[in-house]
Amino acid sequence: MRYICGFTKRSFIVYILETKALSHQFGAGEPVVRNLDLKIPQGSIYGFLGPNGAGKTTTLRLMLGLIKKQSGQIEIFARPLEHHREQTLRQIGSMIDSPSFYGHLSAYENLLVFQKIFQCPKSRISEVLHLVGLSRTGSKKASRFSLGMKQRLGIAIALLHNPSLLILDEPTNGLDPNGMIEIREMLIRLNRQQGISILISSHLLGEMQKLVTHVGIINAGKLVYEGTLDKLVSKSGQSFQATWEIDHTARAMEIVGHKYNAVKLDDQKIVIADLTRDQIGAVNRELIVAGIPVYEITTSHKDLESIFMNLITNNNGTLQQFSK
Amino acid sequence: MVLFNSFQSEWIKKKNSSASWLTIIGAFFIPLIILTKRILDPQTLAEQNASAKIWHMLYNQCWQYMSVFVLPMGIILTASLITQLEFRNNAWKQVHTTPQSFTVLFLAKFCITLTMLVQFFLLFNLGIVLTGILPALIFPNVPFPKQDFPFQPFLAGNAKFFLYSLPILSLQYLLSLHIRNFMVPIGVGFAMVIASLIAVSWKYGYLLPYTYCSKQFLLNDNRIDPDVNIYAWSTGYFVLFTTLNFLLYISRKSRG
Repeated sequence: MRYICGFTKRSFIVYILETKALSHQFGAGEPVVRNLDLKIPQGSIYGFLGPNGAGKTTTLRLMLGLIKKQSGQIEIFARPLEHHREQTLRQIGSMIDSPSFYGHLSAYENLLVFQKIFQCPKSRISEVLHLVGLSRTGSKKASRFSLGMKQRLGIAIALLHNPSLLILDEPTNGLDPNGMIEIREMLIRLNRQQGISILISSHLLGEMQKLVTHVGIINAGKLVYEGTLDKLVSKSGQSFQATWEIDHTARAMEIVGHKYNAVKLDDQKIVIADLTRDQIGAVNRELIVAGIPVYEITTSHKDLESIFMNLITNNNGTLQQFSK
Repeated sequence: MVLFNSFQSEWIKKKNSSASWLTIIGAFFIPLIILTKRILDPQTLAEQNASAKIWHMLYNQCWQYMSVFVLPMGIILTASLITQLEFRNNAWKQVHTTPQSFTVLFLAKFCITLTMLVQFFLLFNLGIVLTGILPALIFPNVPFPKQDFPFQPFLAGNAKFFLYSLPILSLQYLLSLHIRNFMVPIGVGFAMVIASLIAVSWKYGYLLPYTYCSKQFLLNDNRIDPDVNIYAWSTGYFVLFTTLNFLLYISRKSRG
């Protein structure tokens, strides 16, 4: 492989994309991206997560040269982007924000526009149309496509030239559950069968959990976690979220509220996140000793959404809005 | 080769677009009106076609209407529509992530607008020719134009109008490329055309490039300064606007 190689203690990792101390701000405002060090392993499906306004799209635009870089470094395929822009873009397929296509042209004509630039074989147009399930659209204008078809056309354009890296910003936006499954399966297939590395940003955490191998979580322009999804889940899986069904919730909050991050759900339930097994026992003992009858304790492991929410919780304990 | 590939790509984009339809409809608009007028006056039709100056007469009639208003407005609308293909389809970001230098991208799109202008001139001249020939095909008593087709004067005349169109095209392309709201370049262009109608016979009217097409028919007017070299002004404005446009384009901080 031609790409940059990094070493860890146990394994040899090839990074297809790296940013070093990448920062960006618009005008005199607050920085949108702050000292971002991303490492995207080759062959991974890298989920780039963050709340609204966290700097995800700005980062992706910087990576594609759509915004002039202000400080830091972007290396793609082990080459600095600013010095090898055309060479690098030849190996990248992208779809940023919403899919871009020409509404007055058919799907085939839209792909022909890009085929002329990439100079890939014309037969590739039919291949990608078939791959995304648009081979029967004929001369129908793209403006008359459904949202899912438009999204698939955007992905077809990104895939046309057989890229080594796909950069997709919210590719399942606006799709129905069936459309989401189709796109997810297609991306997994591309990754496993053709070895395409995929960098994908999305706010649909449930979807991402089923798709990605690696995760980068960004909040207020800063990277708060980067690593494999398995590691993140297993690390967070050592703690539980427990719910107690009890009488006297107000009194229970007085007893355990100051020690743990307890929340009163209603008159009969309190919930505490981030507890170990021992802590669950300790809380329970304190409630019993205080004479509060406990009727039921339910525990749950965290899913990606609660892990994510924990990570982006700011110092005041409030959560950033998490929706697009 | 890279530029040619990019040009081909841009050419496909304009297929069936409003800009391409406007070029065709705009080119035939004035010849169609002149033809209709001629057909509705059958008494002079035969006499005109038998005249030794039929082509000059048709050329002057068509270009007089075309040069004052239709040509500048056509250029204004076409330049806007070409760039709107990217703005309206939110496609700049996709175009700017293709492996092409910004110079190639700029030139390819600009070449498309120039080619469309050439196409417009060719179709317009075809319209003039049809205006002379069609009545002879429709009416048995109308002869084919007696005068041999004056290729050289037609070519020279067209070349002048083409040169006068270049500053308008380059300025409108500049405005359309950098302003997302298409009403702004169209509004500015329209205001310039109106201003040019007022300024055409003014002493310093040559400062406004939109007056050049209209000036062609006022060259014998004593209010037009014969010492002003319109060809040089036209070329100068074209080079200035195109260079400025290119510099603004390559120094953009955000590209969709």
